Amino acid sequence: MMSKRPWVAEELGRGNYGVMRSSRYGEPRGFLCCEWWCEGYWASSGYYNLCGDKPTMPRKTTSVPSILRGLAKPSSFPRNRLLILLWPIIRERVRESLNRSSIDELPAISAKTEYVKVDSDVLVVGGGLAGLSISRELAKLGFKVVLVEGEDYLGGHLIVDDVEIRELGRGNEFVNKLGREVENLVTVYRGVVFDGFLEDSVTGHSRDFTKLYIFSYKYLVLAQGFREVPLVFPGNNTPRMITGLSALKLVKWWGYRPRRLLVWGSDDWGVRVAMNLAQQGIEVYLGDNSAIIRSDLYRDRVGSSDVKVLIGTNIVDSKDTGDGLRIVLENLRGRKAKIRRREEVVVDAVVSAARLPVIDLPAQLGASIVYAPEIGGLVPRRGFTGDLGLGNVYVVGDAGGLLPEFLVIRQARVTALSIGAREGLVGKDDLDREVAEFKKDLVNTNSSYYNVLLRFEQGLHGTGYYAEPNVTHVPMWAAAGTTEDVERAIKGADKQYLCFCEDVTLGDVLEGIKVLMHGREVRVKVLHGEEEEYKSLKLPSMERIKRVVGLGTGPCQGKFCLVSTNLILSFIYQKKPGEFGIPRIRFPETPIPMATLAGGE
Amino acid sequence: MGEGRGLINLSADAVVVGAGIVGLATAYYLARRGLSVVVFEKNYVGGGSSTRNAGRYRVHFGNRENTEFAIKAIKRLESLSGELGWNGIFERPGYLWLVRREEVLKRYEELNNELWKPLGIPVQILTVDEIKDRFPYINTKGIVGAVFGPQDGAFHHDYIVMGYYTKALDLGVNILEYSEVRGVGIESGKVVNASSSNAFVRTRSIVFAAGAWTGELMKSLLNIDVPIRPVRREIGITEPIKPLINTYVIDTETNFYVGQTMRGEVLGSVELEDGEGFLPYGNTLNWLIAWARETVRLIPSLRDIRVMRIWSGYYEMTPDHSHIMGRLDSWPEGVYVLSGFSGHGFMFGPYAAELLVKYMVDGVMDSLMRPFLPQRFVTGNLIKEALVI
Repeated sequence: MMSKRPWVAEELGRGNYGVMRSSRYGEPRGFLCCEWWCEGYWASSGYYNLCGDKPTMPRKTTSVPSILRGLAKPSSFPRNRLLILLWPIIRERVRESLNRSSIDELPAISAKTEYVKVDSDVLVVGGGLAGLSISRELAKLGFKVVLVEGEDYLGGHLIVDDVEIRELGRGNEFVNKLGREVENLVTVYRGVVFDGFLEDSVTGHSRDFTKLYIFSYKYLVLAQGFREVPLVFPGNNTPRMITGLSALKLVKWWGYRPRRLLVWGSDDWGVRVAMNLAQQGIEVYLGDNSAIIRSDLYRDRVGSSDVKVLIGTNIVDSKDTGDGLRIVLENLRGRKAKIRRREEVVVDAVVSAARLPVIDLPAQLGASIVYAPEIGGLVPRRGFTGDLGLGNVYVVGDAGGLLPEFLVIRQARVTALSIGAREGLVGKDDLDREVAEFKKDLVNTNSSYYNVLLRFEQGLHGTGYYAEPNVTHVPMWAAAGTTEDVERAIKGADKQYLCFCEDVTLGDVLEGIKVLMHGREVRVKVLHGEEEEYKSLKLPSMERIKRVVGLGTGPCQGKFCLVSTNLILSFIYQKKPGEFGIPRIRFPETPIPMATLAGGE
Repeated sequence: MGEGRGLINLSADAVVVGAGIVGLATAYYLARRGLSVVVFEKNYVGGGSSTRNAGRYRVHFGNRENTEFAIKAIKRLESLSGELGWNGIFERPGYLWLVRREEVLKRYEELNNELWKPLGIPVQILTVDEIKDRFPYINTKGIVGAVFGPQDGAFHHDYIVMGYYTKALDLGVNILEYSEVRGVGIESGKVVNASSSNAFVRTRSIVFAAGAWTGELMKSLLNIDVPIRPVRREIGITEPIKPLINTYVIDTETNFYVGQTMRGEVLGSVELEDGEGFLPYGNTLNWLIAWARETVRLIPSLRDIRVMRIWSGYYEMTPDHSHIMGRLDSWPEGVYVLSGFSGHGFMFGPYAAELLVKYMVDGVMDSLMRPFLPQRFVTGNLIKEALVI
């Protein structure tokens, strides 16, 4: 995996960041993600194996002249009178103009495919720090554990992380060692995608599509970690945005050598991405719209590193100038701010380290998804043991809320003991002691970690006694910021892309909301005397917004946009994320070929 | 029935139960006649079957009543984009019924000669060679011929639902989402009010347009029997590709169907017998594998395509697979039904709503409506199917 230099690294090397074309407009699309779950996003425009050595691309790509862009916009397309009138004449052209692969261009699936039944006591989904840690603990208790990992390697994000992590040492050394240990203890399926839940089965498939796995288990542990999503800022469709993990892989494994990068997101992971890149001799800026660097653990270390800090700013404009991405940043607190800071940087690319817990599977199972800004925004509601309250499903690690690594390891142990206790393998006292230790560590690290989990266990998650969305992990959109900041940011809504599969902008979504509100303009600024009315104002659900503008209906199944859109809307309208909800997440997690499902031959 | 304590108090000329395509169309046409309307929707607008269907329409049915209704209804449906201001994304790629037995093909020919031709909607009976020529992606093994209906087509359900929704709002219809109907007040044989989980409405008319839920609701609220039962069906869609499937293919033996959307996704299913009743909106591996196998068998080139998303929804089945509209004299005055479309709700709903409104407001019963009255389940004079297609 590390030796083969992917096609895309060659392209970046020669300065071609716009490797893909959008399906709707045909414009170069430079958001780059080299992780297995990005395949769905590529497929929306007819691309496959984009980060492999020989990607598949549509033979013919088309583009829509900018004069027609307005008509093609997701929010205006269905309502445009001219299009309705001309529809019978133009529909074939519209159909043909979308950038898709034709059937004979799709990667061929092996002639022979098979079903494989896999039995286990505990099925662990995800082979990163959390999944590996809990697998080891469970194996020690004598459980038959099966671990499923979508990538061809174990270790998750830490695999490319050389920075010292509290109590772990260097991330990659720690996780490599752990991975080898776990592979000797439990059955590991690498390169296997977990598909999700059907009524009569739970399935997965191999990434070479030759096998459909049918899993049975007594307990299920979800350890899918977090996902880095595209940042949302004016002009974010401009080619040149890479996820943090992909950037590290490109640099460390495949010899991508940018001169300057802007890393966005200053929590533990974001800071480490920046420090890792700086270690490689790259000039790194670290940006965030928080008042200070978010990471408690690394705040002081950033100051003494080579990383240049642009904290407390928002990206207000960006433009691909051909030899670099010109980015304009301004400090928060609007026009009334005493100090107005405006920075301009030219970088080779923006690196998105804005991360969100992966909640698809708990959501598909019907776990309640709640808002907890302290640990990453939308997370499944769970107890200290990670129990989702569904009977036999647990969540560990970042998928259940973003926590520092040493706490993830601690929680993995608590969860394992909890499962052990249910099976009579662990005494109640031992479990209680471990839970108490975990709670103590939570409080000592950051009392809000403890408070949020306590809130979940005690059922206060829905009471809303905490402040209205103070959304820390929304891509680019900040917790801080005044109404003026929001109003200003919305001005560029038409240039801020949310859904990269279907080219849906924030502007489209706001327009969709307006239509669903029957033309009623929902203002961001609420005047005195209007608060009550505003509070009782019911905005449309994401499910309905999705049906108007097509947000999240592409083959990536909304992985890139649903959660961030929810948080951004909640922030703009000062509503609780639960009021918008997220659309129903459907099977399968990642597309499965017909041949793999049909089996045999 | 109390006076709606703690509920939103409203009054309206009519209450419509259900904000799917049928309920929204009914509300809109009532409002267009100047009536004030409140709509109760227990979920979100379109949350039932209106947004879970395959988005296809046809004029060809196995009996005169439905075919005559369909001809008018489809003409109406196809005219909606302009009226509603939302693009229904209409197209007419036709329906292709693949036939695997000679005698079945013969029945189709008879049906064409006796029913469809005289009504001006002839179909083309295709030989295997003609199928190969026009639809080269189809594996014709075991197929003896096909029936092609060029008048049949496709649309985008979400946009039409949105069209009726916005138009109804324009006319002042009060659409209450997450508002589940709870009771109908009757006094001296007449409807006097209707209430939901959050609203109380003084009204003299109530229309049940709650799709698969209509039978259950009318029974529990009014002790009226309308024979509508929910049948769950599964359906799936693949990742998008360049245009390939240029019609809507139906295998008449296996109940398999497949088509391609405007965006390029291949949409289809194989209809397996599923349990009756309100099963959860889930899917089964059993179905998924059956669907994939049928897809690959009939269209081998689709074996490389990836399944993107699967879901399920309810058909609202009646004993004669035909909708129920109007009322019975034995029902309390003001109670109407428009439901039981048995899979044709989107094709027929808009036109049926118009006819029902005409009946409600003017007392005029269109001759096309007559065969579909609930009366037929009392007299036993059901609609006879010459061929289930």
